[in-house]
Amino acid sequence: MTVRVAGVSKRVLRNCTFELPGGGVTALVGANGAGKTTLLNVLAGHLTADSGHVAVAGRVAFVAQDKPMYKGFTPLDVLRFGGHMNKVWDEYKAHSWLHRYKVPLKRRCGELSAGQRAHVAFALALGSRPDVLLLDEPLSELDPLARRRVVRDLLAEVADTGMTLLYSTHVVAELGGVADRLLLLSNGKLIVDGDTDELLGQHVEITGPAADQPPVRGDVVLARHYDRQSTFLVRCQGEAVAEEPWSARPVTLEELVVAHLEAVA
Amino acid sequence: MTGLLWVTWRQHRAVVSWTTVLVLVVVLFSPDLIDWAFRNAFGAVVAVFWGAPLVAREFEERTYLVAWGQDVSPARWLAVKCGLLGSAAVVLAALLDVRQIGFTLFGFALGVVAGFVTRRTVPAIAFTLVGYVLVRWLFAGETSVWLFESSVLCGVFGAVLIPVAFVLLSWRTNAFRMGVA
Repeated sequence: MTVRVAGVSKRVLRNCTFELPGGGVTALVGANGAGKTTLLNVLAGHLTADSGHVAVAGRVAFVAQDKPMYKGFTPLDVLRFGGHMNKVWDEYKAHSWLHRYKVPLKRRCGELSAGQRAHVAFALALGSRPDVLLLDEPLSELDPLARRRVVRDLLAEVADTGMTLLYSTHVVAELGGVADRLLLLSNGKLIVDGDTDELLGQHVEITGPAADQPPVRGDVVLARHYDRQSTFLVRCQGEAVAEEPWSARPVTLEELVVAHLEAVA
Repeated sequence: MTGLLWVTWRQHRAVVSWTTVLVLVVVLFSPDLIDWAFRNAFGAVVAVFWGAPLVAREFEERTYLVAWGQDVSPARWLAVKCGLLGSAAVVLAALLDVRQIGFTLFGFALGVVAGFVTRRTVPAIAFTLVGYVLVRWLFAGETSVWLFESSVLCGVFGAVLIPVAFVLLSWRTNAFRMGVA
């Protein structure tokens, strides 16, 4: 396991336990104030957990949500900083990221746009060739087009280098096809932790005549009752076979996340 | 220049440069005027403009997340920065008056600690200035012997404050981690 978190409590976080295998992309999802930033700061070593244990194997890079950077530094200075401060430094990788996103290299970071500054932060993080990359709301400063490019490029980096990427987001619509693994935080508690495909296979939405219970075995995540109809979002054990008059349909990752968040709200 | 030497110079070159120019101007061009005021103010200048912003600015602009997030451990970062800037300040103080060394070291260390306590630049500067003036006033003597002794005393205070800064650093972050696990 590359990341091991056991019973960690800090601020809003309560008794968080999970493990991440090496490689792959994990999305850390939750409402504002759920504890995503706190968890990432604990993993990055910027906060010490009140209780519990954290172990991260290898070198870590962390990009905070507001993408802090020395205002007086130019992007070139930031790359030199990265080279001087790290045992491993890939100047070409960092440089090509800045080039790809057309970041002016000789303008002070304080004069760059928020999006450009985000790219400087990404370039620094990727240039250090981390084993574990932690990104807190990485896409928040970027326009929709740039978001898709950055996601694509980050996924390519993960595939190339075998690093482990853990990123937080509250934009559930952007999860599809990105994350291999999902960590769902609500009020500091981890309510879902699993492989995305497995989770999608387990969850099913079952609709049929008004009833108290769905006709399949499993945990009801969310139930909605109308006059003559009931809808259950169920996390099934085994395969869900719904017989007439019930009908079952698979759910999207977004529906799955929203249902779990709604259920504990 | 390599490693933290480059980082320290790149971040602090402006304040180090203008302080050096100021000291050289006083030393070279006004030997008779013996700018007593500046000589006595030098420790305060270093305290306020070198020491106080050292970590306070990192906290205020949240760049501590950048500085302390690389392979170089935060403890090493602080040690090298304090070592280099402290040494430079001592050299400049010696140019002015040997007795200023102790006051300058004390001021610098007080500024660094104030940065950890307040985590904001302006409050750190205010805290440092008040603390510095208070200590200088408390330990001021009429005679030059006293002045010399209070300088040594202040140097000792400074030497005590630097470890305090490392303790405060380790409260804030995983300060002594190794670079590569």
